[in-house]
Amino acid sequence: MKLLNLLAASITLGALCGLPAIAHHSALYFDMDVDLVHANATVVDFKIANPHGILVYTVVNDEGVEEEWHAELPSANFSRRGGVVESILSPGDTVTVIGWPGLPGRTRENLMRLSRAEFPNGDVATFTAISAVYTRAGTE
Amino acid sequence: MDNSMGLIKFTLCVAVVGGTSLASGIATAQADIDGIWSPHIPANMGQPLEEDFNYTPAGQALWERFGADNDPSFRCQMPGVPRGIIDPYPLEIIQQDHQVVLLYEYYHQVRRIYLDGREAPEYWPLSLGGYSTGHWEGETLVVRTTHLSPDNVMTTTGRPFSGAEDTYVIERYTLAEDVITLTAEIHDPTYYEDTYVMRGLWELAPDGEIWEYDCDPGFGDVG
Repeated sequence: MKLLNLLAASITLGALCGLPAIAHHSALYFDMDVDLVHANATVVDFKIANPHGILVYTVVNDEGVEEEWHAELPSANFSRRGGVVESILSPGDTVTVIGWPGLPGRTRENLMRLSRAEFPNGDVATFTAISAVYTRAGTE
Repeated sequence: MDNSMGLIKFTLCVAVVGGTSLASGIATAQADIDGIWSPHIPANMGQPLEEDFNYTPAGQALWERFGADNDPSFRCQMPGVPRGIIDPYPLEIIQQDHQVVLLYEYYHQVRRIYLDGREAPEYWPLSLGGYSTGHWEGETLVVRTTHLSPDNVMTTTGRPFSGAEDTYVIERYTLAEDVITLTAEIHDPTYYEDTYVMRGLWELAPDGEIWEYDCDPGFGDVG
């Protein structure tokens, strides 16, 4: 866990400083300068998998219309090492979903790359392209 | 047994063992890299800076066409060489006199680095892993890989790799204080004007584990 945190910090630092680091294809498909926030999202499905996990959820947009979205996670191995397992979310659960939206023309519509999930009980899961960390409320 | 007889037996053993070693071409390793290693890529390592890429016109054209339709990650294709050299997953190394075996967690990739002086057989096919031979230079394992597949790419971001007959990869794994540092030179004159260099680093993880990596292409696509 310590090493993965350090790895995530290295990558973030590399991105900020313009230094070389691990290249990941997420940057080809998602706008990593934009944080898209979907509060009160309702979970439809949640799978931890390789090469990427997926969270399917619905959210009501500004026009009052329900939309279905998909949020892509890092690989199953990164997720599980960081404590992100399938039992943390079930269909019908409410969660706040934050991530990088797909670039127009590069991905299908209503797809994002998950960067953070906030749970009603205060638990938080954070993600980079190649890491995941699940933090229980009160243990930060 | 008197001392003179013992000395004769010892001398014979040294001669036989030494002769066998010389005959097979095995250079004794000077570093112990056996074990499980955890990845750690500092910010000043990894892939080259964007502005340092120097494509040939053919390489530039291919790079501009890369996207989800031809991204091998989405097809669960084993990364191989060079794409999988520094992926940030644990790595187990089995060190033997005649070979070093690299067991990657990522895609269950297995690489054998032959150290006994052999060369690639004529029948060896092109493949994602290629054919690797190596030797020790002090505490550095030097690996040369040929027979690489044109189906590969340089990185997960789609930097092109030609797999032409004159492509080859030189990796240098150097051990210092339980840390292995890798410098890899990828020679691909079809797509790059200069040698492409990537760097990686692993820390010894005595309690580390290699996990299963099953891959389902149904969970990969963004299109």
